[in-house]
Amino acid sequence: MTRVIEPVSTAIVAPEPKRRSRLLAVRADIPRPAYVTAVALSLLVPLGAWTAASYGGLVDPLFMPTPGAVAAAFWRMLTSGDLVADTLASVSRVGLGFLLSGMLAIPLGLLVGTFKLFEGLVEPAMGLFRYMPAAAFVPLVILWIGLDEPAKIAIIFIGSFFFNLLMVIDAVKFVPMDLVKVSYTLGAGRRDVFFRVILPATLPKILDALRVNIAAAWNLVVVAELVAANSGLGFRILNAQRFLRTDEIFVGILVIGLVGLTIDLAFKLLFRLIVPWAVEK
Amino acid sequence: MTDRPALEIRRLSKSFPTRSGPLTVLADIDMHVGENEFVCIVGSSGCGKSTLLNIVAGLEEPSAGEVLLRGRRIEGPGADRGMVFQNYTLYPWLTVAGNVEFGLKIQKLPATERRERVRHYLEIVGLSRFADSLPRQLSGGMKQRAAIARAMASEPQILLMDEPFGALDAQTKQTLQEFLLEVAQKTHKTFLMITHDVEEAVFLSERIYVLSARPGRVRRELAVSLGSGRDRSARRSPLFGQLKQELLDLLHDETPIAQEAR
Repeated sequence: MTRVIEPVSTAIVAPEPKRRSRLLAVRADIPRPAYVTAVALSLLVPLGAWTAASYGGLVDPLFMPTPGAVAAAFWRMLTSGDLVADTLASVSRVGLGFLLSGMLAIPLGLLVGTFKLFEGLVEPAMGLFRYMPAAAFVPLVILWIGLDEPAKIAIIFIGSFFFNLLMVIDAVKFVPMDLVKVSYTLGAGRRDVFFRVILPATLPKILDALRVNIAAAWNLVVVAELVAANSGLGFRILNAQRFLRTDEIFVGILVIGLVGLTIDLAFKLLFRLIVPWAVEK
Repeated sequence: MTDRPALEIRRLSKSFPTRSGPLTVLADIDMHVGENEFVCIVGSSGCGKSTLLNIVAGLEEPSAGEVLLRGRRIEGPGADRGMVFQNYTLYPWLTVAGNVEFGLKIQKLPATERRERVRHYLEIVGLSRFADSLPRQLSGGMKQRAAIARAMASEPQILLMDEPFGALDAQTKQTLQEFLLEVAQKTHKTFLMITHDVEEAVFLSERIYVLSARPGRVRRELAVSLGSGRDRSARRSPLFGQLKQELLDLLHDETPIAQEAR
């Protein structure tokens, strides 16, 4: 036994000095050129692989069109006006569904987080509902609401409401109790505490929650548009599949990604405007 | 008894229900704080001193007994008792001036008076230059000074302080103790402060209550006759050291190890 242990203990007593890469230091900065290179690689490697595979004839263009073909399809769809119309259709569905979801989830979440009574009324049911995938509600939504615009908005709503609610409740629980107590000693009543302490204190976390959850809602729009849509990016992708237009599928997916990124940036800007005091420098 | 004290605590007890029956944290507390007096409550952790201060603030209810503020029974929290907590409790979304003004707005004071009071109390705590800064731009000591200004701006009848300097480093702590002493001498307010730092208690107060632990009872009442005009040199006087040692001995008997040895 000792024969096995000995070499191990000597290794611990005399660790090798240096020779550790600065690039892999835990949670530390690395030299800027190295970081910029990494960023460039993260974009160029997939793009390069795609270019090589498609132009090199490694894959059938039916399955993977060339970047040039995708760019051409993008231009074609853009100039025909379809792409703009589809993007607007999808954005407005997500916008409406998410707006409704936020308008209900924020006040309700503030109430549930603040008052134990509301917690008892809402939390058990919410715990169950949030594990039900929104996509599974599609058949029910069609039965209840039909195939029109409201059905798609309802799916976005179902898919984002419980997450918004949960995260708003959590935001309230993060408000330090001492902040509430000190407010009472400054003459505040319950109403003041709710509107002038809890509401502003939770605002940064609420905005962050909305930013995270709208990404999920945006992903869900494709599912919502599987329901008998005749416009929208999800519809366009599905339609392109029917006609084996892989290049148009690529365009659809890329645009969905870009719009998502834009929404994220817009929320970050909103955060800076509404709660500049909470912006981490 | 013509001189009615600012604050009276009468036969106050507090117990919490637990699974194994009620747990008494405070038993038969009798205390008083005179007008313009600075009183400290000293006790080791777990003696219920924070609970006691919360009851005085009206944030918790006593199980028995009562608290009187200028003869009136306390029923709930109010702006007549200002409070400063150990942790930074400034509103991070308001400027320093906004924080000081918060209570005044709630109490619906006219704008001109609000502005005058904010200016006055920021000057007292030496933060006039930082009126428009956000709390996160301030150091720990400055945050506590802002919190003290905010508590004083409502001109409460008594200021309650729950280990206000407990989270500060030793150097800042001493500076703030001297600052608070000056403020107390300058403003003639009434203070009731909790601390486990005996040096702080001796330096600041005119009277000290020592609480025993589990349940908290008044073990001893100690007069600190260092004079009301004392300054930082008081720390070096023989009486200071004597009182400090006396308090340390009293508290030592309360530590769990000492209790087991009894």
